[in-house]
Amino acid sequence: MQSGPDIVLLNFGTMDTNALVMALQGIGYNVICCHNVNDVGLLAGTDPCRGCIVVSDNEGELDNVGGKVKNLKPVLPLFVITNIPLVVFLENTLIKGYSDHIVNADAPDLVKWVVENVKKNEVSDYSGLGHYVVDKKNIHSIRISNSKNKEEYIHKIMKHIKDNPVHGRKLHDVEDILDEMITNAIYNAPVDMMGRFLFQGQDRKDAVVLNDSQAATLSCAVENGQIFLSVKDPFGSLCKSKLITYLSKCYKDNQVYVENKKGGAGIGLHKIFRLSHNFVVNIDPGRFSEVIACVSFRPECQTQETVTLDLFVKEAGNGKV
Amino acid sequence: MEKFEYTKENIDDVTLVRLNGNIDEDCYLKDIFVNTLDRIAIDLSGIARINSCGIRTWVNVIGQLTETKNVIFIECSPVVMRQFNMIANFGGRGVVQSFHLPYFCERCNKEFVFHAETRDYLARELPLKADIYTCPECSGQLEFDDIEAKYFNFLTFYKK
Repeated sequence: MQSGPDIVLLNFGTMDTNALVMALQGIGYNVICCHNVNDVGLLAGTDPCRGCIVVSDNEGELDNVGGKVKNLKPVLPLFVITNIPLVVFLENTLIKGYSDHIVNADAPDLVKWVVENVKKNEVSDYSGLGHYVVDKKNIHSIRISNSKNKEEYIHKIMKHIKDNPVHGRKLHDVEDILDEMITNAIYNAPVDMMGRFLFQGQDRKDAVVLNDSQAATLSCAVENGQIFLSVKDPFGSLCKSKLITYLSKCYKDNQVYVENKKGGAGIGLHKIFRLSHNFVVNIDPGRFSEVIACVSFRPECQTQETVTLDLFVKEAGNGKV
Repeated sequence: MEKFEYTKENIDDVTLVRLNGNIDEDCYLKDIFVNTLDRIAIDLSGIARINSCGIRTWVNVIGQLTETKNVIFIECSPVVMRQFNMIANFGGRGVVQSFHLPYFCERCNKEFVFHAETRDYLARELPLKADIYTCPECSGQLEFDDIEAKYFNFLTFYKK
């Protein structure tokens, strides 16, 4: 699905990055170099990149690029290579909130270290709200396993959200999204060892209780005028091709036709998609599926309908996302 | 959680059905419309939430019902209107006769709804704008609590 560059390397300043670029290209990465802060805005409009590396010896430029880097939506952690003293970096730059690795430009074997860490992170878990919110302390999670406790789960999550200035329609939207997330995780996600769906065709009036290893995790976070909701199940049974076909239809048509058939994740996903400002699906087949919905309650988002969709699927064999 | 409930009464040649609460997996809709007259008015002002299981049941029941009966939907709550705008066959062959407009007062931190007639909005020029209302409590101007282009989308099907 991902067709943007593998790695965006943002070089603001006078540091030489040729060796690093060549090393990354040498192991098969498509690297785009960018030397102008304004170009980051242009890149943000393209497909998400896999990784982002910021190199700078200029404190002011690092400050400028801080908020923009997040919009590149890198899957992998963000590396910042700088010779600015760490204490100055942490106190003065906006980018610190998004940095997963801050590397001293003078570190020995710098290129080797970065390349190894990029490769290492390639196969690590790329899911979770931690990749989307700056302060991970804002994330609240609960385990969900019993379909009859749905309202209790919704209530627990809403308690955290209601501490923020969210009101009216947005609160209803969030409740709706949580309802669909829970239903999909409990009825539609579970499969047996052969990949056969366990409860998908089951009447939703019949209770389903999952065991500990089947339970899903429902999370929420509120940050910068945005509500992040996520549900992650341990099955990875969401089918990439079906999802793409279905969501392309959602993009194309404002409305869907409901067919006369039993269950399935379709309408629920459509509802989540329609009610979100950002919609993310992470799939690692056989390991996990995660759906993330971001609902903005910023004033500028009250009157416009914008939806972005990011879909990350881990390929079998090479582990690439 | 708002428990699903309904009432049913015949007024002249119309059966008025009032639905309240959540339409979800726990709600049985089919039996409600047994022994009704040929003309049915369904009052949806009390519907608080509809999830995907509820949508599926609703579409099947209403689809069959509107094949043989003359159905109108009245006082549709904002939650219901969002389904009409999202699901193409949500009303079957039935028609929305009146609906609610959602508003919010920032100052009082309260939600309000106001009645609207479909025919009034059909007579207006595009793009449709929601009427302006003031808060019954503080008299400040209320904010329309949805996206107008999206909320009135269902009317484009009636205009054709």
